[in-house]
Amino acid sequence: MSDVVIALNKATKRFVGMKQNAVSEVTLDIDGGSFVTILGTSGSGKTTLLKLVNRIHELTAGEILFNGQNIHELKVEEYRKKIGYVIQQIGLFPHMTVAENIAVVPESLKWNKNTIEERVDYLLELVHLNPAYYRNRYPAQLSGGQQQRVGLARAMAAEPGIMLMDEPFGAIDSITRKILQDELLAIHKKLGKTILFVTHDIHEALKLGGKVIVMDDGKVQQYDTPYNILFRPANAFVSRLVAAENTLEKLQVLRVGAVASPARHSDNPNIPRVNEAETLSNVLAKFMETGAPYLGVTDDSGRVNGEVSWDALRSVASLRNEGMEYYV
Amino acid sequence: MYEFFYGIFEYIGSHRETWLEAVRAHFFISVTILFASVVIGVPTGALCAKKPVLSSIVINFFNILKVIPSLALLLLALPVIGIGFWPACFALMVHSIPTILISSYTGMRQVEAAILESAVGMGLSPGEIFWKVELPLAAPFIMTGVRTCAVDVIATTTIASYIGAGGLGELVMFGISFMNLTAVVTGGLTIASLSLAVDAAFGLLQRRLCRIPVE
Repeated sequence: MSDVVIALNKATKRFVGMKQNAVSEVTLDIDGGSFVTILGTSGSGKTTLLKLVNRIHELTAGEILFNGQNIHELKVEEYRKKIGYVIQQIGLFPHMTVAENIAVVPESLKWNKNTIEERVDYLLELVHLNPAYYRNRYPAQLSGGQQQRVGLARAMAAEPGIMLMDEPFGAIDSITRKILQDELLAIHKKLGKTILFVTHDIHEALKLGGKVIVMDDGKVQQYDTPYNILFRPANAFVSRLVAAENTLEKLQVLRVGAVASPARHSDNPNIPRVNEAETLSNVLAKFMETGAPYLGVTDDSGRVNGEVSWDALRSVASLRNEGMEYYV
Repeated sequence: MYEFFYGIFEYIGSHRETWLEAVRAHFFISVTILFASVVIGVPTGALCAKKPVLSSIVINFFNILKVIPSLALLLLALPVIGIGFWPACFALMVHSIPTILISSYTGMRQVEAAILESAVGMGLSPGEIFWKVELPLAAPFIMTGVRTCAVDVIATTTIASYIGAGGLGELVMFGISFMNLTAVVTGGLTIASLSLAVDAAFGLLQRRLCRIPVE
């Protein structure tokens, strides 16, 4: 599934009374099943861009297509029900239990009662909350991290075609944030849901995104893979943005796929193996632990489909940020 | 002391019909005022919370009206709307509506922006948001307003008797005119008991309706 789910065509937003566009002629496609992060500083237009997609803000000019349909021709409430929305402040309904919170949209869509109950339990398990224990709790009885898990489950309740997430982990402590990031990646891998994820944290954007939209001044500076954002920045802005990331930080956000080559030693049963979704920092650890000159790269079924050599890994560290020249 | 209270019971016993009729009338006027105030005050308060321009006009209008003492309003309204049940209700509502209106307004305003944003973002209609989210979250505030108002109304209904609407005020007025202390105290104590009972009843209702756990 790689059809375009969301297509922006010269999407522009200018707020009433402002002299500048908050979002300026943004044209890009979001492929179905992709995990796209939007990275930018405050005032860059990243949140406005996200809110244009679910029509919390309305376009000043341009158009946005959802599965090929102009979103302004759709009934706004029906359209929004096809979109999961998660915000930093979570916004759970404090007078409803966890189960009632998750059931809001399915109930509004008049789903069958048993279907809703099964769906609630399924989602709670998906976000690692024991349904028997958490179903009848109230939001105030949960920690921030648990609340955002419920927020995530609620957004996925009616099987939306796309998830919009506005700095969902921004207010959560760094240890829990890392766990939630990993779980979100796992959920994305499992369900293949299209995710559009806003963050101001470079590390988070590069770690989560299959592709990253770098925004500044209401414009898209670069829309590319984390590898290309790091090593082939499109302009001086992106170059400056990523320059602060040192080698270890780069290894933490890049994945095996970025440096893997076709398998040449797959017949060797003794070579240590890593999953293709591992970060390069884990690959580095594996090299250090095993002392092997290369590792087999496996897919989820455990089949070796490539390999990564010590030299390939080192090349990442020695790669010059080609954008450095913008500096001088 | 004992004899004094005995006197009250004796008074009620010997004027059973009149006393019951006064209690019934008092209660009926109070319920009518309270009901009408809720019907007018809650929607108006909710609407004001949504429209800032409207809210400053409406709230100021009621605040100005509220400055006029109930009794003065009652007597001022007399030449225009006459005497009896409805004029009394109307004049007393001027004081009870603002209490409920402002508590509804406050209740609606304190609903967090993030909660509303997620409700809008998940595709709920304005009607669904009002009934499922805003009203339940404003309910504790509205209920506090209604409870305060109910106690207020029962107390002020006493003066409705001045324009012939009946109620326990008649007993007090009669007592004052005829220097009958037992009648005054009987009326006063009945009103006080009624207020306490209604307050307690609303307290229970509040606990049942507004269950938002804190921990």
